[in-house]
Amino acid sequence: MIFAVAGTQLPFPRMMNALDDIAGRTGLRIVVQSADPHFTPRNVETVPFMSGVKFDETVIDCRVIVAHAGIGVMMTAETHGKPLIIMPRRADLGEHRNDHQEATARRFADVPGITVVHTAEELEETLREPDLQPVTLASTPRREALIAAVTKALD
Amino acid sequence: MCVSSSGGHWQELMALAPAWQDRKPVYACTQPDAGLPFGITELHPIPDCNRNTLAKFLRAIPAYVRLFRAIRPSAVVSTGALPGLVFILLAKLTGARSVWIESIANCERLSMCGYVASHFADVFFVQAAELADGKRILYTGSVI
Repeated sequence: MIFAVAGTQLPFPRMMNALDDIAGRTGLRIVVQSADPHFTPRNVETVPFMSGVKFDETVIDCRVIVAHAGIGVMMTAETHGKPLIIMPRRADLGEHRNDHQEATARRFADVPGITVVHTAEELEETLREPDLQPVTLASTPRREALIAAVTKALD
Repeated sequence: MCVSSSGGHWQELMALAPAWQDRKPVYACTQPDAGLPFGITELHPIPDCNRNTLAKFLRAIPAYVRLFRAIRPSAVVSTGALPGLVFILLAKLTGARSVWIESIANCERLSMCGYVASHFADVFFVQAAELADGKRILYTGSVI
């Protein structure tokens, strides 16, 4: 099962419609978390926004996550050891307020387990790959340093 | 008091939680059940808003003020976004310590809320070295 999420603030019809088409063509089972009233799926299953625990359960069940380029999904993918495909939202298409998602995608494109796609074709090609690897973040020293600095700042 | 919006902002706040584990953190988030996957049972839900929802923002401010006054925090830490900024400003007004951590997602320029927070928060961290100025805007690490 493929699990697709696009964050809580704005709908992302370009990604959702691409997934709907792909599900129809490939028969892949795709579950999409969406609160967009304008999205009328033909082939994907939609679920409403889920509570933290239910969301985690769905992530655990999936074989790959497809998402907008959000930091939260990267951390979720790493926590549960899932491959992650990200499609950055574009400001010029009204998908977000600025292009920080494109910057995020560029910065983390080389993290093992993360694949960045920009088009529906690239998304389909990646979803057809059988052996996507899970996201792994070598994060501890930079995170520990920031934690120590925040501790000091709070005193 | 630890405040953030849902999604990535909250994930980053949780990643930094060891920084205040010896204090008595009180959590507030725009998503009411955000604490459950992290074993946090007490979390104050706060209304969500962003720069495109001015009416929601104006209606939310009294709720933020009410919660702030009820908690009377000695310190406020936030990873953003707009609701977090209000709590940082309230901390500044009352002499509580205020710490802002700009999201790791912002590596090319500060968010609008971050820009405002950088002028008020006692300590302001960015998570990308390119954004630091070594004086008011500090880089010491990042959650990823």
